Amino acid sequence: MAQLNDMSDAQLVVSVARQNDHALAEIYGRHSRSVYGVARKILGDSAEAEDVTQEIFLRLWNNPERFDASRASLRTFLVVQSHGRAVDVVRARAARQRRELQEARTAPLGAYDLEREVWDHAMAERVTSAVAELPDQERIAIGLAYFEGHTYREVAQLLEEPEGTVKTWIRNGLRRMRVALVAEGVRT
Amino acid sequence: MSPATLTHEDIELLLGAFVLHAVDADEFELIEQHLAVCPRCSSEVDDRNEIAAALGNVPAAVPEELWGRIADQLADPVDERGAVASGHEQAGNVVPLDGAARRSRQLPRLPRADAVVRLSRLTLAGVAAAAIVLLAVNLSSANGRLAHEQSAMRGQAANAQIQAALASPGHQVVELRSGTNAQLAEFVVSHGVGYTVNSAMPTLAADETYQLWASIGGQPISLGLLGDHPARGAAFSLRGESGRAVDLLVTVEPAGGVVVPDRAPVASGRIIEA
Repeated sequence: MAQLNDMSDAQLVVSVARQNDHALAEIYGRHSRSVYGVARKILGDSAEAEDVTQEIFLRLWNNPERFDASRASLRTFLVVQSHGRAVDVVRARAARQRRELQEARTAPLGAYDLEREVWDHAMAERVTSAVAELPDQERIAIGLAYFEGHTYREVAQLLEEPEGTVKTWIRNGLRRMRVALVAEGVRT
Repeated sequence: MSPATLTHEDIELLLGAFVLHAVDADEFELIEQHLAVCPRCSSEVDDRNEIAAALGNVPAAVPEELWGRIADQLADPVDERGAVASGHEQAGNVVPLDGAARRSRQLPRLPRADAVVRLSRLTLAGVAAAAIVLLAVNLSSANGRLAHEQSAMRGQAANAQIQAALASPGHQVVELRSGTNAQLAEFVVSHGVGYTVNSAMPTLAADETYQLWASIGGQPISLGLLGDHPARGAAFSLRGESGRAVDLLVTVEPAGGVVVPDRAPVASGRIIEA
């Protein structure tokens, strides 16, 4: 039998489906820093980030079939899930969200620096480079949505731009990032 | 624009916001439905998820005790040969966990040298974990994501799910009543999945939420957040041991929910697991 540390992520998920908790521990060892990192970045709170990380790994334990190796790497799957759950928590803080929205309205949006948010990435240089190449409005719109947990409607209000314009900025910005990152060979 | 009128072109334009989790709950559900039938959009989402994950991949040192918390909540594991570690039946029919065996079981070793290897703890979390084994509650439906599912299941989809559950052999309807015996909510549970059929629970303040719990032997397990105004069709998972009585409880909690309730339930009801 292959050693766990020699197994691919997809093989480990199959073992998780057989309730092998050692396989989950191996996956945790490989990816928990990324799962926890994105949650902490979004939430700005270590305790809440721990709760999110715990929930994401228990989701994988309880529903391993939701991971489709043909659609994404396991790290992408877990990071995307962690981000989504963290955004849920942010939005649940209704009072805080309203306060942040108010603050954001009075803050100089030009000061928002998405590049700063990704400095800790293992591929920070390449990701930051891709972000830096984005037009300002696309970089700001993506940053407000991804790292601040705002919906595109809220981003449109913050930037005082039509919703359709913001949707286009986000979509085009991601497309540009893809071109840049794929050219650099970056994969999560 | 009403989300109900979204066209393929509308959804295409929303895909970027979708992968950033920056769409509203009703749009989220519509897009997911579309992705199930549109390979082109599905492919774009898969591709953009890679980019979003690269953006969000900001690794950070994880608190050492976190793995212990997670391991404490795992259902009965199997060993490397596929045998159930504690000699219980295979998953599917979840059986009560032997508490003593659970306490003596060693948690799986983390692969990194700096990881902490811990014995399972005699904590409240450990007790709750045993209760989780009894129920095998599907945590994926718990907490905030349920809010998306609530909105998503409104309307025809919710009605269809509820009608299917009500028509299913062996379904159970459970009424949740207040301390004064007033009916506050009605759930239908079929094949381990429950739905809110109706609710008369009053709307809460924006910073509060109803939280649904299953309780066995006084140990509560969160089944998810119902929001400040429980919607028809809110879904939860409930799979447990055949014939076991499960108390469903609803408490009022802060908006993000709590791990362990410290407030008295506002409604309760009992169901027997099929």
